Amino acid sequence: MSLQEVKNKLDGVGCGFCLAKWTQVTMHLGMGMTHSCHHPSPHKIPLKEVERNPSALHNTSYKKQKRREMLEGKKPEECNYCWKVEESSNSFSDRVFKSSEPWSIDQFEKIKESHWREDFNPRYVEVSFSNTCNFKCAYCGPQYSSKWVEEIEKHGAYPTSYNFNDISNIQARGEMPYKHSELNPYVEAFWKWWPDLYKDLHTFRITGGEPLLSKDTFKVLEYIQDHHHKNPNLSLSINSNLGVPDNLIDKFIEIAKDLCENDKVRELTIFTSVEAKGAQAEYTRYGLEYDRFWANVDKILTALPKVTINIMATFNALSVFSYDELIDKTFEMKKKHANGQRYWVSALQLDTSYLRWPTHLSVKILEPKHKTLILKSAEKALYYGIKEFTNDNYGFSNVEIQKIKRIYDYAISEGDFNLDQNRKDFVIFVDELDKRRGTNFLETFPELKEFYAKIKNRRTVGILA
Amino acid sequence: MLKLKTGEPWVFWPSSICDTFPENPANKILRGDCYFEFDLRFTLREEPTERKTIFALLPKYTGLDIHSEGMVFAYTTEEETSYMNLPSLIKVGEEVLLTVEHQPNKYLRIFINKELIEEINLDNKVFGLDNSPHIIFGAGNFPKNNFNLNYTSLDLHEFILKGITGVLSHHNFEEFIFDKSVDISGNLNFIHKL
Repeated sequence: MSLQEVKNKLDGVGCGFCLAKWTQVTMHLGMGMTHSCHHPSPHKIPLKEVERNPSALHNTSYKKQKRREMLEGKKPEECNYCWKVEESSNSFSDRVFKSSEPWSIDQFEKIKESHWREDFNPRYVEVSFSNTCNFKCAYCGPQYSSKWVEEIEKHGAYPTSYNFNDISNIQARGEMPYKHSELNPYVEAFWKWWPDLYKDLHTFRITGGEPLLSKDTFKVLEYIQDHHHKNPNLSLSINSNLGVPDNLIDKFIEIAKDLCENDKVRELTIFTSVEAKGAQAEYTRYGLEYDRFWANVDKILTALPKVTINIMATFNALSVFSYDELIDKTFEMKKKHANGQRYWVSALQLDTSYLRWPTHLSVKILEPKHKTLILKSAEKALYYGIKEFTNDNYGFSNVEIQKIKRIYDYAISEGDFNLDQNRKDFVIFVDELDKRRGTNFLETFPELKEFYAKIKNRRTVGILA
Repeated sequence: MLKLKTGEPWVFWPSSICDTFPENPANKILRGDCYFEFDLRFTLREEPTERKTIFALLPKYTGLDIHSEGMVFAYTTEEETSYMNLPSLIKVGEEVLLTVEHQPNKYLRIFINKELIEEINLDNKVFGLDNSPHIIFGAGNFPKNNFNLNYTSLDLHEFILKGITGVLSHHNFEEFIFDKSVDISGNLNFIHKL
């Protein structure tokens, strides 16, 4: 079915109708938040609702009201992102893309005929059981990392212009995650719902925190080992920073082997992250041991010949100086582990996205000479490119190359960006980071020595004045 | 230098890998409404006992073949493909500089070692138009198509493509990355192995 046909079908029900509100969910159980599609902000799940009905992790009364609006021809305000796209261009919005997913569009008739009050089991589910994590990446925060919670509780927010990672704001919004030691009623509700949810799933993805530090992750994996006959076509994805203790990596590999070799899932994909090389990567992703990270990538791709690892690289101001070497390493691994039998064509994918938040780490703060390095990285990826992306080939795909090039386009684009303030915040941030963590920014990033000094000097002069 | 083995042609088609990068792939000017000129310095390694292709500009076929009796230059306009027999000026083991120059609606010139050997009048004719033209070296077609292959063993020494703004692609075939010759002009107009 073409995208236009999907749009026509959706519009036949209502101009704001989107199947994702029923078929897709991301549940942040650590915070008790949920949303369907990443455009609307997550909303709080009322505890009373999940006590009565565990599927309220997805089917909240709030979300049901939005479904009602959609079924009655209205456009929910929270889905503004799509309405803006539709009003300002002839392009298809994500409403159409997400609804056209095979696991979504096949539910069209059922949803169209349903009452807005009805519960619906989603087909695409992302779940974060907790914020427990052994990393505290520079661009992350307390909602997604327990290490960040510890640091902020000890030292307070970063003294940037907007108090980066101020925990009181998170608390005020009711988004403070449950601690590892606390009983989380949302996780309890999940386990009540899970047997019913599992059988209908197309895709299940576990995010975090660090999922391999959560006993719930292994509980899910073991459940699938034992109940795979109820849903042998599950597409399973797991995020991991690949920096957890060896025994957990080994335990995961052992279970994953069983799932893959015995076709207990349709496919298994592992998502991880890194966006620089060596000490620079370790500075950004505090907790990362760069060499051990790659040793684990190698170990997994060797032990699991059908699995693909996807590196979700959040390209930021600290990525530019070594990203080309990360590209080299990725290519080396693609080559080494190309075997023609993986669920996805490539053993390893480098999926590069630009960091939007926190803005003081955006590539936009950099000087033009730094930004040209991004273009050089894209050029390298192009030379590693392949024309025909098939099982017989390895190399960088069209999409992988384009996404790196896009970072450069973003970096040099004009737009609403407070350069001076973000540069000042950047210096405040790294100074404070070094103080708290015992790191040394200038030793790690000698390429930014001059840049740093210029901002620091201006800032000091400003203060004195 | 790039040693092309029989049956292993390379192609100048920098727009074939990524939709948007390079932003202005130079192969796009190899068409009837653009000025272009390219130099190819090469050495033929084997006697052409049967028909061999030095280069082929596709998909509107324009190319130079060599055989035991001489050479054939083929060119395609929007109307037809024409063939011209030429004397053999290419000898095994001798480095040759082939130059092809196209002036829209005026002429197509072929030089060997800087000597004009043919000028095709393009008055009232449009040299082939296509949105994604490309040049194969050492074959007349893609191996997977399995016809008109005419594989040739060649040593490629240099390739320079110029447009109205100057050099767009320059290869001395000294640096290679992942079966691609690096464009030393810096414009990313690589040549890659098929």
